Amino acid sequence: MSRDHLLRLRINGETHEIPAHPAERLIDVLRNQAAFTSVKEGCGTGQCGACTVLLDGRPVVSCLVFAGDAVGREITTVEGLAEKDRLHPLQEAFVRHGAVQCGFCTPGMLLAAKALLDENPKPTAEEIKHALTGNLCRCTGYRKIIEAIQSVAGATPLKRTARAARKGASR
Amino acid sequence: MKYTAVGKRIPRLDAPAHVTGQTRFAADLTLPGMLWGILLRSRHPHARIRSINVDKASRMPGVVAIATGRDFPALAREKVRYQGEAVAAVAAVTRDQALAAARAIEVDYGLLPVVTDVRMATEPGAALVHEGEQRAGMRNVNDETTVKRGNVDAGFATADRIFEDTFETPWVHQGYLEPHASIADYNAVTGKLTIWTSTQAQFGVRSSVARTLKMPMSRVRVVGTPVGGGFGGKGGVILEPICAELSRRCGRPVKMVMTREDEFLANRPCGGAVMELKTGVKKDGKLVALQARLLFDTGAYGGAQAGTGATLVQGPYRIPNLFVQAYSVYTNKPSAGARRALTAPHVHFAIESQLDIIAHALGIDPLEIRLRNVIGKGDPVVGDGTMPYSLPEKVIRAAAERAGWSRRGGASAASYRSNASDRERGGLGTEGPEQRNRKAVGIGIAAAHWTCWAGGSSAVVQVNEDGTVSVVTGAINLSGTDTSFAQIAAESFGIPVEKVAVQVGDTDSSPRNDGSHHSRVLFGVGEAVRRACEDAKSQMAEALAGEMGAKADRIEIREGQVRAPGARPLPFGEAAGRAASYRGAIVGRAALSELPYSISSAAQVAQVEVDRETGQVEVKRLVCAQDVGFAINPMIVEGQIEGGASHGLGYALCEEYVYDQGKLLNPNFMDFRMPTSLDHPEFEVAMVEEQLDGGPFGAKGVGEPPTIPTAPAIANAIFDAVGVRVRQIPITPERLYREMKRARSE
Repeated sequence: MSRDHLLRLRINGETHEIPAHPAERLIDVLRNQAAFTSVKEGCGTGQCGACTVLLDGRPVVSCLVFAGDAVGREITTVEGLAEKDRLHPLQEAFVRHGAVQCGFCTPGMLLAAKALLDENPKPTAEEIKHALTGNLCRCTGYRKIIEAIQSVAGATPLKRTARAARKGASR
Repeated sequence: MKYTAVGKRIPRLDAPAHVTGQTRFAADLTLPGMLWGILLRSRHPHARIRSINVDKASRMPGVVAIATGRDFPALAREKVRYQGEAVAAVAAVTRDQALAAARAIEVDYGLLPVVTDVRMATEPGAALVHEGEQRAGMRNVNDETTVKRGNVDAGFATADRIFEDTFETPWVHQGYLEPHASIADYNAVTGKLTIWTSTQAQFGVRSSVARTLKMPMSRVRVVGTPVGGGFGGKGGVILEPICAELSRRCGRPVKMVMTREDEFLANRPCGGAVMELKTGVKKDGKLVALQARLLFDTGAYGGAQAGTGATLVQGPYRIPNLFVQAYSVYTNKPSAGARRALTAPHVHFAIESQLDIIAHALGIDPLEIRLRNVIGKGDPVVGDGTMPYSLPEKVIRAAAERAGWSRRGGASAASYRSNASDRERGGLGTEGPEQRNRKAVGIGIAAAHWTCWAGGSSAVVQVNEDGTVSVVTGAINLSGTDTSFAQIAAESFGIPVEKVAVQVGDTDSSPRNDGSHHSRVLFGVGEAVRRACEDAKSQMAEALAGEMGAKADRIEIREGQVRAPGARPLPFGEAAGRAASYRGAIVGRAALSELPYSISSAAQVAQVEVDRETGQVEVKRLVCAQDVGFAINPMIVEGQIEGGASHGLGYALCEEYVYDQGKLLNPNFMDFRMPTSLDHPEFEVAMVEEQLDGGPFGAKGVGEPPTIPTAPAIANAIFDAVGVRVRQIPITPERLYREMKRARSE
């Protein structure tokens, strides 16, 4: 694809002018043209969630988004979470709770969690699990990830919440 | 013993880089002048290559080099033996150009009959995957092992009951999220090749690439990049040799990244197995004889699996008479590799399911029958001498106790179910009677026997002049072992963990280590780190002996100080500076290969809820007990156990390769379904810690055992819930629905 175009993308609060075709995948433009390599490609078909970024605060899989469709919108990658050397509370919690193993799903997982907490600051364990269904993790079994998110949300510990939630939900 | 650094829940040292996106995986790297490499893969599972024509492709824009099996041995030459086998490789300026050129290569295939069923593969008349492969009167057998103990016929003669069952396990992918990627950079001037690659075994990659490219090892430098999950799938060479060859032909760096489809089709997934077990037992449940015939489906180029499977099929049980015949069988599928404990999840599904069948038939509690047969101190272990301790029993009891097994009540689960509180029934009490009737709850137990193996392990430890410590190993960090090494070094010197830096060096800058597999890194390399620290401490003592006026062996280094009788204690930092200046450098080192195997046991109890109408199974609770020796970092150990059981959960219920005539129907994450955040139960981890073996501070490898007992524990719980025995995993809703329907009609 011709890269005669300059795409104006807002990434983590800064404007970038990037030589890229609007029909390129957003993941490719972010990784290859703009060097945001935290955006991971695990499948290329929107099934694993490793390439999750936020578009205007909502999580999307950037392997299924045309770069042109991100113009004029606010893109957030995990590079945009920490403020200088201070980790975002979710990043801090993932480190502290052992929610990170190989680290490949971690950026997407953090962004999915951030989108959830921005919308619903005190989610139940069940709500957290539902918010993460699009993000696969093969290392942890998810428990420590859920615990880390809950610790930020200031919710009650996993076990009690999980049981309370299950009583209400039938799936 | 009171510890200051080991045994502590310290966050992984690499976690901050992971959460900020700073970790550079292989696919994140770019070199100046880099080309893209793409493989042309066969669409056919079994075909003769009549001809390959690259004329058109080599004239395509951007193409720099093309290799085929005619001129490079790592590509298929006369025949392709599985769908996805690499036939040709293209290097071009952009990935799109390489893809377009690969598509323009013309291959004329002559299709051959396809062998996919492991049973049919061995029968007379089956097509041969490799010409001339025939052993023991069976076709396509590439490896066989026989294990004999006692006299199995005499054993059966003394049995009160004999049980015969056949069990089947699927092909599954390891499912790591990072597709394998490699970058090779051959410098034609210096003759030096550097490869950055996502591998569990950088020294294995070095020797293999050196062999294939006929280069001396000293000219091949392999840099193991952070691995985004391996679980056995990145244990051998993958793209490295062809990537290196393309770079050598082009004189420029070449990058290759597998797609997810490539991963499913053409890496080394975990192969399936068909296992026939005939077991003789006394009325009291004591096992007297086991005869087993095991067929391991090892795909197109095999992998010796029969040996491991044959020694493990008895599980953690005492069986005086044993006769096991195990075969590795070629089929037109990818080469089978390991996935968390080579063949152990397969054979444990068989033996642990059959033990449950026996328990129910004899009216013995499933826990009780295990306790009556479990191996203890002095019992023979196939291939490994005798049991040094009775930890397997302790582990089984720990799982049962944590799960509240005694409340279950006898061989029949009825009393457990009627006594179960709403909480234990997963909140079913709030549903109406109709729904309650539709859902059945059950509980099941299974145990596992595994060994961790030190292999070739080494480490170098430098005490810096300011009293900080730098640890260098060549062992790829998969599971947080670097953090544990820092804890081991901190404990050895009596300094804070923050003063230790751990580096995985490349194959030029670090000492040789075997790959990161077989639950060996913490066990073997961790012990090498500990010994290297002791070596460095002796060097410091020798260097300081004169000035402290004491013999070196009277000098103690601990709690941040260097002490000698009658001398003023030196702060560690000051002592380090002086010792380095007296001696030039303080560099401790250790290499070892002699550590004996360590046996690591696991046992799990699963509680499930089964929908009688649909066959849907929900695992509500999974109690995972494990002999971990000593948890250097309990948070990491828990993470390994939960993650390992998560693999077992997928193996039990949803993951399987589906083939049609040798073509894989589900090479993607939508159709090959791995458990998501919604599918996981509450994990409860019960660690059994006894510092008896030779790992550092008594630690054992913990990564593989937790995957082994999960599937049979869940299958046994399903039987407990609905009275239907499923002998083939995964127990998908469809499979269970059919079995329940068949049971009703019988």
